[in-house]
Amino acid sequence: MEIAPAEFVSLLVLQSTSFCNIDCSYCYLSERSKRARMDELVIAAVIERLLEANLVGSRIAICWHAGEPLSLPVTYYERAIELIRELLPPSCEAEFKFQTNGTLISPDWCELFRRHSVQVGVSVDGPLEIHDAARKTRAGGGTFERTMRGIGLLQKTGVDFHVICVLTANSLNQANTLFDFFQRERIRHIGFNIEETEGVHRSNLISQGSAPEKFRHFYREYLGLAAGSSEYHRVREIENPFQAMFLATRDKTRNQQVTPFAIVTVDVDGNLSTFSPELIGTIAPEFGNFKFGNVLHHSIAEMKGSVPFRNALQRISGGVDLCRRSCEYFPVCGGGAPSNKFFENGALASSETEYCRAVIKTTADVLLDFITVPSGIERRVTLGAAASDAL
Amino acid sequence: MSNEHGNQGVPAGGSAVIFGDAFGVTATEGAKQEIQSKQQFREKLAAIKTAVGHGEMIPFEVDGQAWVASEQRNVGVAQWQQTWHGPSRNTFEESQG
Repeated sequence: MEIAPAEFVSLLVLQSTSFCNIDCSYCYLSERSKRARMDELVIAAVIERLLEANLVGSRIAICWHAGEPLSLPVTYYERAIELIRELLPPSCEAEFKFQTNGTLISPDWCELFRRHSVQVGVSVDGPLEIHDAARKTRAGGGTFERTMRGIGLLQKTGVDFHVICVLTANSLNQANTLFDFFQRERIRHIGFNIEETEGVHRSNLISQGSAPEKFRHFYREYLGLAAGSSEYHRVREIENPFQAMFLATRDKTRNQQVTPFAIVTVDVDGNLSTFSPELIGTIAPEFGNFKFGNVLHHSIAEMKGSVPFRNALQRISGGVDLCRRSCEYFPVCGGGAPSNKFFENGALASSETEYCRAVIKTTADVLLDFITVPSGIERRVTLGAAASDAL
Repeated sequence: MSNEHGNQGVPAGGSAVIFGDAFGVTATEGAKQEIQSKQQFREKLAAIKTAVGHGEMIPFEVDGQAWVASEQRNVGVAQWQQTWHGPSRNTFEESQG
């Protein structure tokens, strides 16, 4: 069954620059040494193409990522935000996001973030020994101190942020160390990614097949620490699975990574992709290297009709059908991530991946264990009146 | 039954699972045991659905926003793992349609 396109784009990922000022060992981007930047003409064309195709609803999240966005000047984004707001209709609320390594954050950046209510995500893998093991400068030095200096500036200026922490084979054994670090640094919103096989990177963690058991152990331990803490501690891998489980009971599951045009990615040259953003530029002739057209030259309608897009949609839909038929976790997942399927299984029309086993299934299983444990973990109730009213 | 904020609505005999104030559910002891007794994940989901339907389990989000309790919402899963709809909002997008 072919998956229907999204009514509106939810997340627009813009690669303002392919360049990154650091050189992480697990990075999936092949062109992070190139100093290209997205032209204003491309930014304008992206918005115009989406409007032309009626893909802009009442809200759109715009995320600058896939390169280090802060390697461009603040003024670049001032102009880009202004341009985007000029082009979008007043009925559409644009929400801007930056995913950054944090090393270039300055007071000027903080001012921009505050002025435009930007959601900032900073990549931090833990304390110095863990962080610097993978997140290195181009000369091979560590980046921890510069990243933490950036986080300090965000905290000092009151910019709300979350961190993305990549878990490696090493750090998966150190839940306690990571928890203590985040508590000590007053980092309260955390998303955990396991080191994945994506793009040009092959993950040992994934290839060795040890990720599910290691993540299960880590997650159970971390959950216990978070639950036992008297301090606010918000973890994406607690919230998302819980939400997904309750959505599943209401048949509301909708997987953005398999839904055409729910997520749109545009690279620095204006090439457009959809589905998992990591796919763009991957060598795959059958799918046009997951570049379905260029916003400077092609309409969305032309891209939707292109052979590479049709091939990708057909295979991804086939993969989701396989998941639906074979996996009891389908109601909380909706068919996995095409990027993981492609990079791990070598086929979009496939089902389970190591990422599924390690993250999707594990988080659901462990959280259900926590729901059912008796009073040790039950501390207090913060149910809002709205919740009971709505039910 | 009131919580520390004075809110009403926890089922009689209900209990809370709170993760650092961030997220949790309330469930009766019976509902918890029912879920615990299931071996297969799909059976656990069915038990959750029943418990929610009977008002024996109440999912909610931070600050009392009952996002999942509202039928008006149609939200998505498996968002891109490289980012997160962070602290100030729901993790998932509401339907705009």
